[in-house]
Amino acid sequence: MGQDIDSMLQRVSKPARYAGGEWNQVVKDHRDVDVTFAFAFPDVYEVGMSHLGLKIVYHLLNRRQDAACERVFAPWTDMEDLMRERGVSLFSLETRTPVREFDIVGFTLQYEMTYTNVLNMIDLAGIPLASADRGAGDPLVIGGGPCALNPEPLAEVFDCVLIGDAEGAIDEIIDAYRDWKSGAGGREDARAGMRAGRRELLIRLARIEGCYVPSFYRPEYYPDGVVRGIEPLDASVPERVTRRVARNLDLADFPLQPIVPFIDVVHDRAVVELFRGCTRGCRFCQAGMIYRPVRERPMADVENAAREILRNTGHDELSLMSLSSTDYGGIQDVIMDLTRELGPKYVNISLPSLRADAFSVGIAGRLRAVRKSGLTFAPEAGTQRLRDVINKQLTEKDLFDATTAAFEAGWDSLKLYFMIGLPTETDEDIEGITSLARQVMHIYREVKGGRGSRASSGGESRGASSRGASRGCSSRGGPRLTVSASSFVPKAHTPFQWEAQDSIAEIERKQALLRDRLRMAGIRFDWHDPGTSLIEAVLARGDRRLGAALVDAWKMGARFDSWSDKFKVDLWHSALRSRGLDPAFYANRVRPDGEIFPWEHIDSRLTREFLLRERDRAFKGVITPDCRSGQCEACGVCD
Amino acid sequence: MRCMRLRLVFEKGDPVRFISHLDTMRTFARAFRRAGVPLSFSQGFNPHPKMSFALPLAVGATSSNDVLDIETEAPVEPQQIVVDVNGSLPAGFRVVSARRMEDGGPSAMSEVGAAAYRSNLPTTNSMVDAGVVVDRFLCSRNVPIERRREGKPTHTVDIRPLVLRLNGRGDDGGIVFEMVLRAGGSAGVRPDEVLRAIDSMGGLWLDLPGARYHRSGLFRMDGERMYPIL
Repeated sequence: MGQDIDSMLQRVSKPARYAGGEWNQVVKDHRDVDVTFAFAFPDVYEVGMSHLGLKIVYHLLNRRQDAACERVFAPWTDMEDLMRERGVSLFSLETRTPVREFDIVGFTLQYEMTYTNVLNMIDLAGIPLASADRGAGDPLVIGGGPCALNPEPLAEVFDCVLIGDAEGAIDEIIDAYRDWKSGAGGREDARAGMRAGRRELLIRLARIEGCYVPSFYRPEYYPDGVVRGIEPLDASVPERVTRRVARNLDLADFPLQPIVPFIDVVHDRAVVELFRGCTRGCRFCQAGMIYRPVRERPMADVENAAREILRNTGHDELSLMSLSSTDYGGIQDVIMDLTRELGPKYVNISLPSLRADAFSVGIAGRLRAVRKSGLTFAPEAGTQRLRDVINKQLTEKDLFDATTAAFEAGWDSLKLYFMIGLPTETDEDIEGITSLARQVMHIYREVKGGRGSRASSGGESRGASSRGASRGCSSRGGPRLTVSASSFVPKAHTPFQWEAQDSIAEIERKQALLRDRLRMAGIRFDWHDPGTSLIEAVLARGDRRLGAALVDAWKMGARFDSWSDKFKVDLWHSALRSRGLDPAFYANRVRPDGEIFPWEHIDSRLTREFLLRERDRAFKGVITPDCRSGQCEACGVCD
Repeated sequence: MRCMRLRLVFEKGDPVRFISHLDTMRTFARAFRRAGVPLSFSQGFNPHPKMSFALPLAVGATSSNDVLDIETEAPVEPQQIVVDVNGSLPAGFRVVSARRMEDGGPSAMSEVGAAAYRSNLPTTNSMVDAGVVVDRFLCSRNVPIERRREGKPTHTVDIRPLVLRLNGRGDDGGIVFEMVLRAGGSAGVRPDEVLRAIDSMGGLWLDLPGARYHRSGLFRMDGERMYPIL
């Protein structure tokens, strides 16, 4: 306290981002708890408050009598400038407590391009950036989330990284911290004795399943930069850290009283998770690999949770979340029950992701919220050959049936999502994208029989994404088709972790090709900035040596790199160059089968054999069916 | 079922002063839901609750005697609404009273013709007494200010006739201004515009970004007379 925060809020854009006070926020007196935890989201409030993981961890911690969890988000640049000018340190929303006074600061790593925000927030909090420099009085700085599956670029920043699910693990972390703290005597004693005892704390944490303490491991490199080996430095820590999996998703662990933001956040609605994990097996998809196995919540839990959350929040929209919601066993029944119950109360239901098939469109047809916002399908690739390579089990017929059903049901606005730069891609596959788009336009004309239709105000916009857009001349009465092409970024723990990303020049060439071919009335083409995709690829499969370049980039002013108007690619290149690192080494190189990865000591539970087998099948164009259909592919997760 | 029109008087306090007008509307809509108040909904493709605020309030400002009209789809007990909604509002918002309005009467929004404000400014390097500058303002035949709207050319507005009352005095090292301004409908002026105009008259060196605003009442105009909307 003692920082005049209100007078700063008078002077910044969107001050409510920093004000807290929302319905269902939890405020505890820190003197009444043993452990204080600052949940740090390295992006703005509107992005962070849309994130289910935040709600889950906030709930898991605040339900404990002995712990208090508060939130902090990345301050926007105007706020940061003011904080630095006035010497105000990063503070939590709930009680405006300086973040450095918390026992634990926990960052969620959702996206590589938020890493400079992590550094910036640690610095704004007045905490040393390097784990090795922290001591008495400094909080324990931990990380988690999907990017934690390759934490190496941030290995020197984090004291500890949780690999996998928070349920169960976060309680063990708090217990270990509390026991360690009380073991040293009273709270103040613990503070004073922290430097000496910090190693003891890290040892305790390293014994928890899923907890990775980077300082206990040392990577060695060959002269060319490839990892030679990763050696544990302490006999008591495991050689490989196994991803934590919550085998059962208990309703008690789910946030039924989530915070209701005042301001309009990206996803402003009640959320119920239908299931975690996905076994569709798309070979590029990291989420589809690292969240296995599939764990469905019972239907009764889903419906009860929905009722309870709506009652506790007053939201007028409910999202049934998962990686592929129409795959949920009871999806039809749940939607029937909930629409019957919630429709009269003016509550809409939405599904975040729809498979491109008629079944999914049929379900979506019952959901007004989806109808309002337009439909998105993700064929991912333009030809059947390439869709087989990536194991996207979707045929042209599926897609055309889905679009026909969508147009018949009255949708005028459609978005097709593709990836370019996938392994084995040729210009024929790029042409395939344009031909699919053309055929979708054709289907529209057939369905509507030449009749014009009411102009819809469909389409969506996301401020945070880094991309360009082009539009053919506007169509009057025709469909609005958005073709979005992101650039493939190979990710750790996927069958494509050995593969190369296209060079920037090649991505730009393909984008130009698409831009040229998609100049048609009614079609809008979106693409991602290739420079951003390159840096994302570098960090996604990067090693510990990148840490120094990351710090350099941040010192040169890198912030909010996922925001196109903030990202400065030149600065990243000079940061990498000054550390003698070549982005192509990380991003554009095919890695040999036997290469030791920087994340070799992180066990995702998927076997290397499975991933290699999938990679080989990709090149043969052989698909692998979803294991829920009966055939086990021995990915290793269920062992 | 019978619809019922209600007028709620509420306060927006310090803890929620950084919440925008749109956020305030959303907050009330959700609070009504949580409290189980059966709001009527508009018909159509995208139904929304029937709820209308008398006058938007700027981000950073607090208010009292603020007014909100709602329509319920079933009869409700006004006193019970006050209790229930207060139990569902985030700290900082408070409903003070609710009363039944006759069907077909004017909405608070259409009635508003003026609003009273108090503004506190932190310490300044004033060379002159605030009252002197206020007098200069009040004696001016016209006080033109420039208004900028995004995408539109700047235009000049004479705000003098829109300022119904104004006084200013030193207070604890700062300055307090009290004003009654035309508001709502086609012609209105915001308190920050008045302060900017005062500041440009010189001598006071106001710290405008540090100004705090409180809106203390809304009024219906009948010729020169003002009646509080409650």
